[in-house]
Amino acid sequence: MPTEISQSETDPSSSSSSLRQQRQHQPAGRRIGFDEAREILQKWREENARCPEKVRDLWIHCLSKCKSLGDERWLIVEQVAMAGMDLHDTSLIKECLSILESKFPKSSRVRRLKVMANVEMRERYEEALKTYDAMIKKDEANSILYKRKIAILIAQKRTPEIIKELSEYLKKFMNDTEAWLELCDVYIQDQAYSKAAFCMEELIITNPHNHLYHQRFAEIQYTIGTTESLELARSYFAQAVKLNPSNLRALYGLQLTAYTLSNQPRTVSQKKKENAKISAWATTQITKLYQESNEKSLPVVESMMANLQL
Amino acid sequence: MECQISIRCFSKIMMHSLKYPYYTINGVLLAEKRTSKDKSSFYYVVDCIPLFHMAHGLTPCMEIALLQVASYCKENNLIIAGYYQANKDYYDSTPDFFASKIGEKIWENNNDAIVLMVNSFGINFSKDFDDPNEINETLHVYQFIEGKWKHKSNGSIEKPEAALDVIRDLVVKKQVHLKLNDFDNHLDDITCDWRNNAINQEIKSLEA
Repeated sequence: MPTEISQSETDPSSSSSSLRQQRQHQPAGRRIGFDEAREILQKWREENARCPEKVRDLWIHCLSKCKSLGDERWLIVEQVAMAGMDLHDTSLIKECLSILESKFPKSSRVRRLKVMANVEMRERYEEALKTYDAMIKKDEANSILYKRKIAILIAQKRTPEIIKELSEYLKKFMNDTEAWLELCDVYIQDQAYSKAAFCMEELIITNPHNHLYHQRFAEIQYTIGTTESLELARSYFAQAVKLNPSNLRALYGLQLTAYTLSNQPRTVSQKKKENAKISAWATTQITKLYQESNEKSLPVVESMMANLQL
Repeated sequence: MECQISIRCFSKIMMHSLKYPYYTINGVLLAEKRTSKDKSSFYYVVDCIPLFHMAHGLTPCMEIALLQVASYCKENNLIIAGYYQANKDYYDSTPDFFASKIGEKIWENNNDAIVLMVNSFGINFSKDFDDPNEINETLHVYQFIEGKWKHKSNGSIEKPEAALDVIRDLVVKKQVHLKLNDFDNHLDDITCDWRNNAINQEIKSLEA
């Protein structure tokens, strides 16, 4: 299966969007109108969301026979082709590619899809790499082609090469947040946490108001686990909460980090008190969020909190 | 210790891994101790709690989740009997560094704990099975022996035929797996309940 690097799988900012889509998921039996289907697909394209089963359903039941889509039709067919690759649905891929090919016989974008479907999916990786290299020579500014190459390396788990190629890619396309997140993730899988933290710092600089970047940076620091990095984690969790007071991950993180710090041996008692206070504050905020939502799992949370009491 | 995996646990693990086929997903196994006819005791894995599909390899959320699941187990007289994981790489079903570490943490509290790895390669529930026992191959049991996780056997699923029917009905036909909530979903949206009571009920009604 082609590893789709340009997808949102490592993008923390997509975390809540995946849920929004879920709530949008239609209950069985209700018919989705044509306009609605079009809007849903457009939203998923913008968010780089990956929900191939639903894309295929919308295509088959609502859009495949529709002639009034205008130019949007081609974008949708491309999207469905990608869903087909995710699902290994060869007849669907064939259908989409032949529509696109007859419309755009010389397009390099269609050619890339064909390489993905016919070469990458059959795991003829070396051949795919060569083809992409040749395509890059003709079109050096095409970031997606570089990403395909990196995706192949990911599929082959060639970690040192992934890191090398991604770093070089990021020199050319410095603003690609997805690529920074992917590199961050590769470092985490390699347990190179300080390098992963560096990637997040880059992202925080480009967008200091994104609470998810602060939260992820803090999570990495917490994982490193030294007193110094725990203190860093605490302030970045705090910043994430400040930017988004309902970020439950950051609140739990703040509570846990402050609790851990307050129990560190060889800490002066003033610091211990301060951290205990922060942890208690986070606990109150978390409890409030659960009460507001009428969430039934509150007893479980409360007994966990009790275990974390100082 | 031997483990028998309930239909509920098996189908929820499969649902979790099929909801997020391109992520590494994980969760914990909840069991009760039972005694078999020959007087030896074994774990009956009643349920599983799906935990994460994001940020694999980072610890804070995992620690919070394990604390909550531990409280939940205490209230319901269940034992955390192990950890399960499905790797995002389709062909790789061996425990990675993190699976080994988390497994070890659970093992420190319970020396009978196992690690269950999902063997994605070959999962195709819409095909015909010559022998329903083939579904046991979708799970690999690892035990902690001399400081290492070693592959001991395939999973032993209670009533494989009925389990297969549950998957065919809920996953293949109704796509219920898209509604399964893990702890990540809960952290994104507080109203998503990781106990999945509605799905538990659906499984139960099919089992009967």
